[in-house]
Amino acid sequence: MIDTKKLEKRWFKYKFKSYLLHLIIFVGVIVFILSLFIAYNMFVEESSPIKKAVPIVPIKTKEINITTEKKVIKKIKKSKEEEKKIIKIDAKQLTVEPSFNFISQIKYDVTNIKPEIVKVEKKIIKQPEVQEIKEVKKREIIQHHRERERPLKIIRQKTQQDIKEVIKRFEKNHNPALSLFIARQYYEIKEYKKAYNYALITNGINNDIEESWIIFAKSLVKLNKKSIAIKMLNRYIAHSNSYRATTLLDDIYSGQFR
Amino acid sequence: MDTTLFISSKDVFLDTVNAKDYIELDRISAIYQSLRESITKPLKMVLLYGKPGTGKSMFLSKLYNDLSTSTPVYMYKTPIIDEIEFFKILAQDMFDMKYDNQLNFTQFMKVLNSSNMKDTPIILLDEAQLYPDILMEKIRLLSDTRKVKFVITLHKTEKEDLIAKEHFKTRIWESIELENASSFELKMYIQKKLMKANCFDTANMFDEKSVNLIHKLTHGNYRESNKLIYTLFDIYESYLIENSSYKFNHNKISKKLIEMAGIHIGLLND
Repeated sequence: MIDTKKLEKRWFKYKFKSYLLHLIIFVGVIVFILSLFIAYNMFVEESSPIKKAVPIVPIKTKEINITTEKKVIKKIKKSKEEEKKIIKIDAKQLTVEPSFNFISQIKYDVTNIKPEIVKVEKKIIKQPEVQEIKEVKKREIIQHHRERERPLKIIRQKTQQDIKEVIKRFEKNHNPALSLFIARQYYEIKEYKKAYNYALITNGINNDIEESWIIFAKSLVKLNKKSIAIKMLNRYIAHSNSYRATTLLDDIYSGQFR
Repeated sequence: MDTTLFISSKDVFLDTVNAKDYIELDRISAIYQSLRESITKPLKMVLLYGKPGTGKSMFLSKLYNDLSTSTPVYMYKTPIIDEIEFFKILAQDMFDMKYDNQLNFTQFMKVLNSSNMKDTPIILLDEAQLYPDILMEKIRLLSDTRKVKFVITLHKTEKEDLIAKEHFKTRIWESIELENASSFELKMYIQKKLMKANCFDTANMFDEKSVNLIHKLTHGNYRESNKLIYTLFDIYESYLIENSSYKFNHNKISKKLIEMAGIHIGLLND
C-alpha cells in the first residue's frame, strides 16, 4: 500500500515547482515583450521624421507653459521689441508726415487736415491689421496653454477682444472717442506703437482732446522718441495751455517719466 | 466503486509477459501477422528489435503460444549464457535426448545434421543481446545449416545494432522493429486490457485527456504505462482503504493521482 500522505506532499512540492517554473517563464516572457516594445518605441521615436516636427509645438508651448507671469511678460516684451522694429520702419512714414503738418495747421485750417488724415488713416489702418494677426497668434498660443495660464489669459483675451470690437466700431463711424479708447487701452497694455497710432488718429479727427495728446506724447517717449514727444507737447501746450501736458513735459525733462 | 475493483484493475497491469494478456491493436496485429508470414518463409533468422518495453517479449510469447500447437517451437525467455548448457538444453528439447556428459557445439552439429525432422524447429531467443558474442557466432552457424530457424529479440541500442550487423547481417531474412504506442493506441491498449478483465467501470474512466497525460509521462512505452497505471490504481486503493477525505471523480481518472503515480515511480521529479 502506498503512503498517500507522503506522496501528496511530494505532489504539492512538484506542483509548486512546476507553477514556479511557469511563473518564471511567464514573467520572463512579459519582461522580454515589454523590453521589445520599449525598444521598438524608442527606435520608432528616434527614426520617425514626425518626431522632429512634433517638438516644435511643445517647445513653443513650453516657453509659455512654464508660465510664470515673468515668462509671459518676457514673451510680450520680445514681441514688442519686434514691433518696435516695425515701428522704426513705419514711424519714419507715420510720424514725420502726419503729426507735424497737421499740428502746424491746427490754428488756421481745420478742414485742410482732412486729406492728410485720409493719408494717415490709410497707413495706420494697416497697422492694426498686421497687429491683429500677431495678436491672433498670441491668443492661439495662449489658448494652447489655457489651463496653466488661465488667470493671465483671461485678462489679456478680454482686453484684446474689447479692443478688437472697439476697432471694428471705430472703423465704421470714426468716432474719436473710440479711437481714444483704443489708444488708452493699448497704452495700458504697453502696446505703445498702437497707442501712438490711435492717439494720432484721434488727434487727426479732433485735435482738442487733451488725453489723446498726453497718450501720444507718452507713447513717443516709450518708443524712444523723447525729442519728438517734447516738441509735440510744446506745440500742444502753446495751443491749449494744458496743465497736464505741462506737467508731463516737466516730468519728461526731469526724467521722472521715461 | 469499491476497493476490489481497483485491486482487480491494478492486477491487470502487473508487469508480466503472458500471451494471454496480449492486446490486439491494429498496428501490433499487422506486425504480428508479418512475423507469422516471415516464419513460413525459408528463413535463417528473424530479428525482432526495439526499445525496452515495446512488447518484444510479449510478441515472442504470443508467437510461441500460437505456433506451439502446430510446429516444433522452443522458447528461451532467459538467456542461457553458458555454451555447453545452451547446446545441452537445445538437444534435450529438440531431440528429447538427455546428456549427462557435456555437449559442445561440434557434437550438437553432428546430432542436428543426422536428425531427420519433418518440420524445421523454430527456436525463439529473448534478450539475445545478453548472449556472449562467441555463442552468437555459433547460433549463426547453426542457422546456416537450415535445419533450425531462429527468432531472436534484441534491444535497440548502438551496441546491439552492432551485434545485429556483425552476426546477422547476411542471415536475417527479416527484421521487425517494435515501437512505442501512440496516444490513441495507448488508450485502446488500456481500455482493452481492462475490459478483458471485466473492469468496465475503470476502463471508462480513461478519457482522452488522462491518457494523453499518461502518454506524456511514459512516451507510450507499454512497460512504463503498465507500471504507471498499476501504481495509479494502487493509490486509488490506498485512499479507499485509508478512508481519506479525498473525493474521487468516479467518471474520470484524476490528473492529480496520475501525477502522484508518476512521482512515485520516478517519471516525475518532485
